[in-house]
Amino acid sequence: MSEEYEYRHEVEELAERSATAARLFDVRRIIGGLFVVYGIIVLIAGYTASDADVKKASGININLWTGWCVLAVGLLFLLWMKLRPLSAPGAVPKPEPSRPGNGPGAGTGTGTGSGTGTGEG
Amino acid sequence: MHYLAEGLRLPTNALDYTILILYFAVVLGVGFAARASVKTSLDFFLSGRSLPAWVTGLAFVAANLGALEILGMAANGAQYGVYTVHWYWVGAIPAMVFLGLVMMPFYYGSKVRSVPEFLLHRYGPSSHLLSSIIFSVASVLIAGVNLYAMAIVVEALLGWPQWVAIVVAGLFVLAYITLGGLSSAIYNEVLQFFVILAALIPLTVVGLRRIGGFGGLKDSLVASHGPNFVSAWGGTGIGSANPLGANWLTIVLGLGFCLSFGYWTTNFAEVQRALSARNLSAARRTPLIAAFPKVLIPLIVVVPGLISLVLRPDIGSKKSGLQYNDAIPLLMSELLPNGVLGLAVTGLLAAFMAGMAANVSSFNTVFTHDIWRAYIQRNRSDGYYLLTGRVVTAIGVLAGMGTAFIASSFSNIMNYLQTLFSFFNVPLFCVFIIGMFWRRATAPAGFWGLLCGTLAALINYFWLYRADVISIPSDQGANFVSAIVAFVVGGVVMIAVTLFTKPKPVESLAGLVYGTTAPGVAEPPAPGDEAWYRRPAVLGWSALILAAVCYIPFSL
Repeated sequence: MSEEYEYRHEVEELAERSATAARLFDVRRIIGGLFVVYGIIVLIAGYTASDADVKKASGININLWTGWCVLAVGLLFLLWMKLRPLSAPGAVPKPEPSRPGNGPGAGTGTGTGSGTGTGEG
Repeated sequence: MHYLAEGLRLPTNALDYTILILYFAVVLGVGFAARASVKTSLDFFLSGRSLPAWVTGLAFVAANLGALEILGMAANGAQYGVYTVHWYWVGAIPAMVFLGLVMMPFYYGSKVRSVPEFLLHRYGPSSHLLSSIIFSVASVLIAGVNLYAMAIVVEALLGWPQWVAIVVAGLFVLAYITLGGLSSAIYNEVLQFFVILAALIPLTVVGLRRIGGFGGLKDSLVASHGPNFVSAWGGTGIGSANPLGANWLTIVLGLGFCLSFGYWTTNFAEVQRALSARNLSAARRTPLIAAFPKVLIPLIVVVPGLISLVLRPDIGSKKSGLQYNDAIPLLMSELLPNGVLGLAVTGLLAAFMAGMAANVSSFNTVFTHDIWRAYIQRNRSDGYYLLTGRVVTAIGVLAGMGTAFIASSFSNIMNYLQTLFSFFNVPLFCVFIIGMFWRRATAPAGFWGLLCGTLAALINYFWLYRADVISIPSDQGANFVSAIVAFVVGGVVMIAVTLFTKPKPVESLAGLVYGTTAPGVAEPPAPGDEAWYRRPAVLGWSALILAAVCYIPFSL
């Protein structure tokens, strides 16, 4: 019977040697950074928009609205990362009281937030 | 054959290309940055089982939100109308909730590394090998479909030759998965999810404004297509004709039960995201967190499909030269100025790459772990399998490029995908669900159930339906029926074979069957997991209620 469960021990062993938890960077940095840059680019398009651009988009300067919303989402991600950082790299991946903050509640919150935010544009 | 109209060429400028090139650079950067975290094969194939739930949850929904899904569902919206919401509210949410609440403890708790591996421990090598081979072949086919579709869209929108698009996208996917493994696939999926929102939300807003908001949309569609076109259930009585070619029974049983549960609960490209979560609680929450965005996605996918029908009532007809699949590209070219247009193009390309990456990252795991390691090269070092995984990734991408041409035989790409899923996932789901809840189900039963269910669906679809032996009004309707046939045949064969074969000893099934627990100490929950809004039951039931509430405005 012990042979049946050998694979489970192997997974446990590999999980102990795993480097992902300690070494993988924070994805919020990437999303935040890219969205800040995208926001700025789209805002430039918004502030230099021609009448034809506005007319094409049913009479709204959609670049301006989207630009501000994308920028806001980017900044929110960077702020979230600042407020609740991952545990320091190299630390033993043991659950610490400060870690659970990046749980799902905050995650979905930001997700839907971005959705409705841009939707108003 | 699927050709986009010449007139869809987008007026892209340097600004748009800056946005696109930035995205490609970041995608590759994620791959290089994630490389440092890959030390063992578990890191490469399952991110070391250490990601937080919101990351795996968004990756779970993004892995499904490939461009084929987006273009296909917008196409279904334009072709079938509001019926398309069934693919989300009946055809996804219940299955996602079931995966999180009922099935995930078996998957994650038993510490299997892939969906086929569960079959190995529950049944035995024959069904394991069969399922692994079917999955590997299907993944490469679907990756090929994805690439081919992308090449056509990119050619029409940007004017790139098809081979350029195939090579560029293929090589980027190859590079970032080979470098960073599943972590880099998942991180790019999360990023892609937000880029797609940034692409589709402005498109929907501008489109709605053009045609007078939701009220204008509804009035125009009722005037041109009748009231059933904007209703979810109108005209779906058994025997009454509707564009979908299905009735409420085949919608609920075929789409809502067989196809949907098959896809969401046993498709490893999805389940893999949950298996990479950092503990059982996070794994259970993965599909539940994904369910909330999934409920709302029709707003930015199906609605644009409907808008395109109002703006160009001749879409889908020969005269216009526009296919239903062109719905979203059409809106992009008609409504979006430069800037946002760049975001939209980037979102579309991001969706194509992520859809393919999900297939490739699950294919490399199953091929390396469940075929190569289990049956060809056993007992080698972990480093050997890590290297094999990287090589298999490259082979999978190249094979996907080679199979891209298969997609060309169906006019509606979604039909093709749904067809594949109805054949490959439904019998698998049947074998899983019986195996999880019926201790006595035997090893030969698993194998024959899987094989006969798959063959039955193939026979029903390609022989009985395509050759007009039985009459079903549409391809979609035939898919729903094929899925039901696959499930019923698989189940009946399993029960019959079980009665004549010897069951596995109960001790060998601990943690794999309902009512047993995995040996060893259960992992302790992370602090904070007890918070009420993180409890799987609360999340799951809220998602179900939300989906039911969404039906109300379309059923009255």
